Amino acid sequence: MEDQELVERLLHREESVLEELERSYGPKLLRLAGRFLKSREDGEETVNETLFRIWSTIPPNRPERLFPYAARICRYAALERAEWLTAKKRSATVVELTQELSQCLPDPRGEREAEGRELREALNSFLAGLPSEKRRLFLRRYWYGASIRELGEGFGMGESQVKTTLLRLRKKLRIHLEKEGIFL
Amino acid sequence: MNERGRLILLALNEVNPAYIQEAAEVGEGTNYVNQKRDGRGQGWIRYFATAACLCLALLGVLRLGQSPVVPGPDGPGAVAPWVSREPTVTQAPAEGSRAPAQADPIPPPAGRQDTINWRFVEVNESEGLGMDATRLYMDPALYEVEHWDMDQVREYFGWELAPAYIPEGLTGGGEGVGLTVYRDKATGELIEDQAGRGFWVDFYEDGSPKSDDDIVIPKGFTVRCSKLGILHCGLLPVDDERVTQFDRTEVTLTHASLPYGPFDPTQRDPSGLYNMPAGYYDVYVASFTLDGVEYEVEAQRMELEELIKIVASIISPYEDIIVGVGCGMP
Repeated sequence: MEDQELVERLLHREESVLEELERSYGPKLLRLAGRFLKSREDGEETVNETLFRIWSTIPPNRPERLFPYAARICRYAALERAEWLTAKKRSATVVELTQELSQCLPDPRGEREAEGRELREALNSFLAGLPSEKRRLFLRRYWYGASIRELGEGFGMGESQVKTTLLRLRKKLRIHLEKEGIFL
Repeated sequence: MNERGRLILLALNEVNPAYIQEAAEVGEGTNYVNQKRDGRGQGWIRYFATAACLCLALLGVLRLGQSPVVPGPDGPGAVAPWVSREPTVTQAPAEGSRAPAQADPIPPPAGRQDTINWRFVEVNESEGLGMDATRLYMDPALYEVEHWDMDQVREYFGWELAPAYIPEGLTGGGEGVGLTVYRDKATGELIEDQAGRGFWVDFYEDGSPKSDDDIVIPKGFTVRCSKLGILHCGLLPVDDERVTQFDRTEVTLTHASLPYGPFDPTQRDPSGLYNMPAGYYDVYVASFTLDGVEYEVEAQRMELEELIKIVASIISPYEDIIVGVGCGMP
């Protein structure tokens, strides 16, 4: 079923659309949540929560692309569930990803000063300037939480090449953020 | 703990959904490398492409130095001279073709309204045409030549190189699409497969483009494509090339300002490279890869907006798309 049809059914409050959403997106969302969570139960809870949030936010929202909308909610919910925001327990994947990305912000003082909106815009313009393949590699790693081994297999690269490419991308991001005035 | 990393990890949640979708489409356990080409083939293609560029550049320079300047069937430097021009073959639209096979302008699909976000449209500025060249010789002892007609082009590329959007006043009424391919006799592999089709304001009887005003350079554009690697136009390359997103397709837009004749032999132009021209005209080139096929659309004496609409209609013939996707855009 097309995204727009699903959105229309959500807008018309057809409850049956939730089953359709689970069929269409459930496995993908479960894999995404599983990247950040330790147990399958947590992942399934996160998917359920995601479906509920989709139902609660459409309307008033009317996304053009439904999967990115759902995936964004799922990712955030998974990070929340990982008690990430309260900084008590973090999964190994989350710790690993944050350690890598922390190199992109030169000065810890600025994290208080950096406006989230500015950072988002800078990330968008950084991604827009990347060749498609590198952008996908970056997002597969830092958005979807894919492992180095998976990226190597998927992109036909050796693991060391993946690490080197990601390192260069992080350095490039750091320079980009500095150019955008996010000195931190 | 790494609060700085946390900031980015969270901020990433809000990036452009198009990128999230793009990365999602390469699912786990699958190989999501962009269509990789055989390295040996690439070497050949690079060699020929380089030689062709130089050849085209020289031809362009020689022609610019003369008056009047009359471009070939598809404009200056449009198609390698060894690509033959077969007579137009009129065909009924094929099932699944990208656009109907016809010579007259094709109106855009009803309701088509591409959104151009100019803030994120990146145009690279080229210095102009290359100044050196050499002619590529295809030794008939080594290479077999085949001439393909419209049907074969359609079968090979999936369409007839007629965009869904053609600016008013332009027509493909001259020569149609044609293709000469070269095959390595030893291996049987294709080594060159570039096709081209031009749309112009007017044509001579022999089908070559003709200007409709006092400036000898005709208005119009050419669509060129190749699966093996396109033989680029003669524009000089640009450092730090930037791309523009046409939805999820990266397009490189390049502009050059070129001189046209008649040229005054008693004066030099400011660059010192030419005799003083009668004036300058704009050339815009859009380069992109779609479904494994490399494309170049070259427009001369046209507005950038028109070129963008043409390219958008090639990338997405029947749907509206957003050009220049960026911050705040879906």
